[in-house]
Amino acid sequence: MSGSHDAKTIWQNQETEGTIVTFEDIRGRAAKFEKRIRNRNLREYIASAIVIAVFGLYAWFFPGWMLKLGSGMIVAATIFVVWQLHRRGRAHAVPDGATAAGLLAFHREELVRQRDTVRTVWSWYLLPFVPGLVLMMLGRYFQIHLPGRPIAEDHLVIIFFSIIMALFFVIILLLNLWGAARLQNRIHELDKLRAE
Amino acid sequence: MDGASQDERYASAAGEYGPALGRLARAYEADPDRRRDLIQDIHLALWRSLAAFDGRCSLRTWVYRVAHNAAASHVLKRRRARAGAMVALEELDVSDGAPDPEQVLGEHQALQHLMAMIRALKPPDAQVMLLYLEDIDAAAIGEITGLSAGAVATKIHRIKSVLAKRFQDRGASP
Repeated sequence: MSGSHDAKTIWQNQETEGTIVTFEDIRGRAAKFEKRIRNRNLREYIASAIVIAVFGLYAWFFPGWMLKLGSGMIVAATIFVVWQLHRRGRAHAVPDGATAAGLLAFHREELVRQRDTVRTVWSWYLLPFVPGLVLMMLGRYFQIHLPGRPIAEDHLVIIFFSIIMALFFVIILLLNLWGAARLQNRIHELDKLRAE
Repeated sequence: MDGASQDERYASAAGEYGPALGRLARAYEADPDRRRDLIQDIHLALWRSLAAFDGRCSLRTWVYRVAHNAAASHVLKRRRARAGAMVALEELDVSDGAPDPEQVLGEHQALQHLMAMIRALKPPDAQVMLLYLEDIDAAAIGEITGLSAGAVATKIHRIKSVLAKRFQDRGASP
């Protein structure tokens, strides 16, 4: 008996767990998956709606054109970023009936898309908020001061807050660049897996 | 394409290929809990995909493509950190891990040996090996994997050499 024939016999006669997958299991799993996606989208919409509502109120109630315009620009930036997240961030489903080579190519394309999304985060996620935030800080510095606090002290608070905000932006940028480097490593790993 | 519903097509496919899908999951995932998850993922992917099945390839080809894709995606997620340790068929050492020539492997041991070989292979080669073990012919393996007839023939030749070497004494002993 040949080794390969023997291996085929052993392979096909092996005992498996006999896991029964019912329609209820499948529908339950599909519903769970869709609920997870729905909840993720809902969280994004709620967070965006909160930012838009809060800065919309700022634009309405804050004194001084700089604070008003800055708040309005942040609302516009939030809408722009939500649109960008939709355009760039959505994972695509594995194509039905793709061949093995097609599947690896698909996974690679997905990783490249994710890498490019996080690598360019400064341009579509951070930069849109900068003009509005800068204008609000300038508005606070030049136009609006908190009552009861000396102007010099208020200026220091504004400068300190601006530095914290800038650092926050830099941290987000660095985290995303780190994420892009990790995705690049995964692309290298995937390239190693492509046998031909 | 007949007028069968997605559920009916799934029931038919799961009935016919269920055991092969179980073996496939076993080959790709050693951990029993994760394997149960993988089996459910494969069945979910199959059920979903059958809504888009247009009959341009055979049901068998479709089932194996979808199942292997679900399993390979599972492997890519789970094993990405160890991807560098996976090898192509051509790199598989014929004698590496082979039993002592004097030793006749028990079926359980032989099966574990096969599983270890499959799990060490890069996904496209693991797929060819699994399909070969399922006794799928070369033309169908080409259709399922998208590899050329020449590439499939080369890989099958290599698989036969490896298996012949590693399982040579089974059944040949007195």
